[in-house]
Amino acid sequence: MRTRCLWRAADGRCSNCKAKRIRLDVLKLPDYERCEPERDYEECEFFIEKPVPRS
Amino acid sequence: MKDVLEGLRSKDMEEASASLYELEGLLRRSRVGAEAIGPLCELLSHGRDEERARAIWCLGKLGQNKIGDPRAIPAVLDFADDPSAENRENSAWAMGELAGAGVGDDASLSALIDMLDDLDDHVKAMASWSLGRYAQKLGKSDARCIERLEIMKGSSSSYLRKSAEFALELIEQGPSEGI
Repeated sequence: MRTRCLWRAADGRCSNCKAKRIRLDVLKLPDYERCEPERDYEECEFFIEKPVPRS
Repeated sequence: MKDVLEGLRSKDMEEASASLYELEGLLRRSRVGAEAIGPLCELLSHGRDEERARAIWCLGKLGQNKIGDPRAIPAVLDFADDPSAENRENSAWAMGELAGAGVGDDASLSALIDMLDDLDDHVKAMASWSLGRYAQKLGKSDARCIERLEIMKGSSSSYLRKSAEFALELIEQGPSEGI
């Protein structure tokens, strides 16, 4: 289960430059800049689990 | 800005790394121009692996911001057969971005074609994307890549398949007007 992606910004945008290119050009996603965890995480080739900060 | 660029030239890698961090932020906001290319190329020649990998990303980001310079190509090309798959993927991505800024040559085209045989799917897919960009933005293509892309189109991975379809479509279309 993918829960938190390193590249997802607080406003929901993807901050991975390479992923955005693939999402726009190759996968032709209309809202390629935005990422919805429930919809996109499982399929995304660029997903990287966000590290949990050490307490 | 001047401090950041001078910092990239520092032999003290901690200082160079801090300057690189500043530069990455400026690049994300499109606040840097061609003046960064020289210092980045210098950093690539003397930096540690970590700084060199980040410098490649910066050259790609400059290309994405439509700032291209032929000096960036040999620097990026050096990473095309790097042991790290992420660095090879970044190299392919940077070549595709630089193509959008009108920069790319036959050597880089050849390297991208070789990357279609990479063992890593991310590298292959990014090389496909860049080859599409080379055809679209630079009018550069090669029969060798069409053959490989046709094979990739039959891949069981939809990611690879779609990447190959993207490249083949742009190769067939040829260069875009006004680019």
